[in-house]
Amino acid sequence: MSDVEDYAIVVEDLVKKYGDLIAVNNLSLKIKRGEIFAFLGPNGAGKTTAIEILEGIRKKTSGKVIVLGKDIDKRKELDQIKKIIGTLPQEFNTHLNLTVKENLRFWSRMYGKNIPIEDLIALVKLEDKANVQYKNLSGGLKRRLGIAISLVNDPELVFLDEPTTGLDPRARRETWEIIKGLKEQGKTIFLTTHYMEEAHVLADNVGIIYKGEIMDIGTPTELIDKHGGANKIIVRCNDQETRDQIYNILFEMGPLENDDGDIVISAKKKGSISKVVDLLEENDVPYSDIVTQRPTLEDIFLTLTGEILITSTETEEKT
Amino acid sequence: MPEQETFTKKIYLSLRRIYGQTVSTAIRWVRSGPALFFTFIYPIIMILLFGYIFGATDDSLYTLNYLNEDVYQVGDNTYAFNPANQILQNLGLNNDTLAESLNLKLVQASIETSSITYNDWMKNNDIPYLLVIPSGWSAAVNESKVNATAPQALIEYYYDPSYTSSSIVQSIIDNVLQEMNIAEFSIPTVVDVVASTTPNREGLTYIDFIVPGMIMVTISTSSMMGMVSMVTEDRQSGKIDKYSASPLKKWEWALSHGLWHTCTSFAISILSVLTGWIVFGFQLSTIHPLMIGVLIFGSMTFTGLALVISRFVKKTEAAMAATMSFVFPQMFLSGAILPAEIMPDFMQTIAKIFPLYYVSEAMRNMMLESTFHLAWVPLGITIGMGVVFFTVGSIITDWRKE
Ligand SMILES: Nc1ncnc2c1ncn2[C@@H]1O[C@H](COP(=O)(O)OP(=O)(O)OP(=O)(O)O)[C@@H](O)[C@H]1O
Ligand SMILES: [Mg+2]
Repeated sequence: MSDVEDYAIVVEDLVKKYGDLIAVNNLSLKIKRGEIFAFLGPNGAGKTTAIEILEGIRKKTSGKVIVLGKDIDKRKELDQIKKIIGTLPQEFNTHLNLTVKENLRFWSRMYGKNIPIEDLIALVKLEDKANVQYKNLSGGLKRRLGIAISLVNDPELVFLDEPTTGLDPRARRETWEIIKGLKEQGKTIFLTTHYMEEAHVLADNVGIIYKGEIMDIGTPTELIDKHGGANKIIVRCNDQETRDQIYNILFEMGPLENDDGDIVISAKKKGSISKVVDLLEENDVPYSDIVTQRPTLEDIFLTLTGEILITSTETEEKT
Repeated sequence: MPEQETFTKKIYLSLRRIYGQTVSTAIRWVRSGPALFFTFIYPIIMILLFGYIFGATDDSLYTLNYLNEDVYQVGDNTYAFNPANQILQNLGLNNDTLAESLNLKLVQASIETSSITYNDWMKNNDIPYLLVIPSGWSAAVNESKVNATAPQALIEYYYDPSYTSSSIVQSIIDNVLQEMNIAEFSIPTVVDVVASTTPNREGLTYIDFIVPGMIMVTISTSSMMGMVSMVTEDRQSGKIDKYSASPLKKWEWALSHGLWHTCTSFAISILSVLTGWIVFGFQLSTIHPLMIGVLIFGSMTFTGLALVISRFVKKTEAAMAATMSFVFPQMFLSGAILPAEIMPDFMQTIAKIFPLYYVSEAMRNMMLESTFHLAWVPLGITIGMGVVFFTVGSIITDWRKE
């Protein structure tokens, strides 16, 4: 029992089918209270489907879901859950011609426990826009108000479905700060994203979801250690002749060539880097640069699914 | 008493949610210029339009065919005082001013009574009503003046009950006869009514008809369209997802919108009555508290129907199209703006399918004092529909996604 109490969310064998399509397949996970958990996955992975089931707003096909120690299948318990969670749907627009303040007041009235509206406005830094109608806010500010709205009842657990999709890098970083602030207040955050950087920066634990299945769950570091393989040593050079030369010299270390025409070596053993440098120096090869790189969630995603994760923070995706 | 406390707290929170929803809807609505404008301008335009088009033609005289079979006394020296002639003159025969003031135009019917019955003749010639003074009537009247035990002198009125004006004409004849009874004969003369009676709306003019009808048409249209567009819009914007994940209950949400549409229905009613009064001299004979009931349960009926539609048709455009394809036929077929009585029988049956029929009948009969007694049945049906549609609509509305 106390086991259950320690967790904000416990999911066992969750399955969701849309007709023949299995959107979520045998999902099991446990999320500790107070942590930030991120679902990382490409479009159509089943993130929204899963999060909506956890919020109690979508029917599941089978499985067990316990949120904040309460069973979502029991009506009374679900009613209690609703009072202490906050949600931000993926596609969300509040009342267009109400102002920021009026919208917050409106949502506050839907709950019994409220935090002062001024505090919420300050939290998402919308002081200047408090009396501006929602429809006149920029996309980033709309999203921030959405987050503020998800907090009107001072929830213990907040679900954020793609809180930063469509925002520019700066707005995204500001949002990250807000989310970190929530964690400091002791709230549990469940978010979805297809930005690996976001997962890496924010999340205590990341679940990689692909085609409705969890490929693995762990801290970003754990995942990288486990699936990312070793650090990479990248030797850059300018011409084909040098490349061939390097390739031959480093042959015993299993060199690979990447898209940019660099030679990549996996630093599996200790001392690999110095060995590479020594070999190159001995043979007097005119390489232009040597760098080492830690594997990223991107690499893990590739290892786990055999596919490239669609978005990085730089390639902007429009809404 | 912690139990007690949580219960009061629950009610308080519930009321707060309903209040929050209603107030925000009000602000949204007031700020969205076009919705406001059209909701209020619509009944005004429609009353003006229909009032002028139909009111004018309906003001023309009722053509009353008559047949005077009481002819044997023609040429008699008592001719001028012959009761048969007298009643025809009192109905405006050869006296256009009088006829006009009675709204009548008398036309002598020529019927080959030996070969055709009155009813068939009326049917064949599309005659709505026929006044027959039977042979020997004057004599019967004169006889009863001197002989208290003489049988009643009867005059016959044939009418087709599918015409609203039938009863109006009947009441005109009735009135004329009563006046004559009192003034001259002091004898029991009655109008014998052949064919069954229909609900009798004495002195009803088209404007009396259209004002309550248009009020309910506007309420039905604006509640249904407003509610359907609001629900589908809220669904697409993710607000329903948020409601679904919050303590807000479906019925609280539905009720607050029903409440809001009731408020607008008051405004619509006041505006319509004022328009009818200023432009056409419409007289509201009573303001009965039960009218509020018609507005409340009428609004609930249509809000509930809107919930049912938006339960099954989820996309805004499709839902609006579905609503339109209900609202427009209902407007014309339910007898709210064109009297059901003038329609063929099967159309009258169709009219009774639509909720608007009962709602506007209830309102209309209440607004015209003389017909108040006819309001009870449609009022009962309106209340029933309001409760049923609203409850069903709230229950089948499903926030939890499949
Ligand atoms: N209501 C629905 N009916 C049928 N299929 C659906 C429905 N909603 C989602 N799906 C399908 O289920 C799968 C998972 O969708 P979901 O929206 O959960 O993905 P997601 O990970 O949130 O994607 P995105 O990053 O684009 O938001 C997709 O293949 C989608 O097409
Ligand atoms: Mg999604």
